[in-house]
Amino acid sequence: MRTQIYLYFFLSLFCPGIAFAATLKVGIVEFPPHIDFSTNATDATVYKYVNEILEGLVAKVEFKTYSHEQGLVELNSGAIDLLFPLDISLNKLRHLSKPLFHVVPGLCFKKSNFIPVLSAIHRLKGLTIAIPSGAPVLRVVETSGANLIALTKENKLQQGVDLLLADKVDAVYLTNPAIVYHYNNPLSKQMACSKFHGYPSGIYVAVKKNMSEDQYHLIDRAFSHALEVNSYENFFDPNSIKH
Amino acid sequence: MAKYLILIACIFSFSFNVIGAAAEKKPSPEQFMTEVSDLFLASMYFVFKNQKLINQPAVDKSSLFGRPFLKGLRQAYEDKFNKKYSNRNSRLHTALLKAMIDVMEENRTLILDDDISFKGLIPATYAFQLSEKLSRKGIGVKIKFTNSANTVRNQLNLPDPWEIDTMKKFQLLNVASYFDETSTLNNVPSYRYFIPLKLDRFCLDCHGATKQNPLNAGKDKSQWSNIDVTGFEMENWKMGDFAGGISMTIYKKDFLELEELCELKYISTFSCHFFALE
Repeated sequence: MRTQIYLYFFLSLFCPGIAFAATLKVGIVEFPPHIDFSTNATDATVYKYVNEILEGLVAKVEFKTYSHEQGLVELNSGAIDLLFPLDISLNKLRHLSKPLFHVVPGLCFKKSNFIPVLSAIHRLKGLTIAIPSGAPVLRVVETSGANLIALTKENKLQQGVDLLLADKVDAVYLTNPAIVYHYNNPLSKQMACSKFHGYPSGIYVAVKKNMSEDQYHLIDRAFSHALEVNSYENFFDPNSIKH
Repeated sequence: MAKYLILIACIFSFSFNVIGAAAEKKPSPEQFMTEVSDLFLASMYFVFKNQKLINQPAVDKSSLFGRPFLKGLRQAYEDKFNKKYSNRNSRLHTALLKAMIDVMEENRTLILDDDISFKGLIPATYAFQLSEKLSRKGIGVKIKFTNSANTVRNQLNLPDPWEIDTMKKFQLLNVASYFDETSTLNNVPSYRYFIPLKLDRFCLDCHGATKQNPLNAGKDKSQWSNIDVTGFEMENWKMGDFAGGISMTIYKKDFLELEELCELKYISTFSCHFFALE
């Protein structure tokens, strides 16, 4: 029923604009807890949300799951039209104007050194914190008196986790700590993360570089309206994740 | 998805079954904001009452999530205010209850982490996360737990000029709350409401005297620390002291129910169709 309503909604809005009957190719990357490849990606609310919007726009939508790296390769080559959900701060990517949802950055510690409340920023003074190179760092962290070191390997997350578990750093800064600190992830047995609440950053649907302006605006308007009417974050139910 | 629908149904049921919702009269903005702030405070009280459960390892914590959370919230409300819970059947009320559940759910990994003895999910941090969640949902309700600039711990809770003026009013006038229907926030016409808080028993573990610091329990006085469990210096406040307050803002357009939004063309005709059909 809701699909039909969305269809009606977007058909009504964009009837003159439905110019492309071709298939829209959409890549999905893992982004726990919103999309977790250990379960069926099509069960994820974020997939359903995006699918319902796009179904009203084009004749056919094809979704395919990718690793983060491969997804970017496919998007950059133009093999896929859209890729989501993406933290675009690490890569200069064309993206839809409104974020699909937000994540709150945080620090991951070995459990014995866990700092639960990060608004007590003075507790970071003197700590060594690993930060993925290129990641936007909160000013409160930069000015905290912590010793910040850059993670530069290709797999920055793995590098950070390795350094942390080897006691070579006190904490790892992550834009989405749920990547490691989630009860489905075995790493949550070894480390714990807390968040910088109040500093959310946007997670977007990225768009291939050579998408026509008309097509871009059509998709962008549809997402903007949908997010305004019923935001994904209002739609998303954390209880829907399998425990 | 089915689980989602059940939960939403549960939230609605929670809203409906205490009052005769059909016969319910729409509350005034001030009444609505009073009720929401009471509910907000009750949820903080729930988090306080459940500190032991939140931090305890290897116990059943299902009462902190989903439907059991709503049941506990209602009980916390009735305990705190000594009156029957009376929710409203409104879009904003439902969104508020769902946001409360979502905040608990987003902390599930931490709450269930048996290796962390203090999770940091205390009333103040819960309230901040709830406020953040509400602002991200784009439903127009902004709730802030604020205090004077020299006492606020989290810099993101610093008061804005309206809140500074309002807190000054409380020092001059003996009123229980302050409602302002002529204000704005971000240049958007808004209803603003402030309810001052007096230091309650549950605040003293962190904001009270050194002897009230649970970390000092069983220690010799010479070993006592004035740093509380969250890492902040304790303020040595006493029961009944002014503890800042809850500042709530609702854009006037968001207070209106959907039909009014449609009538006034705040949202598109298509959106109105969308909701009507759903």
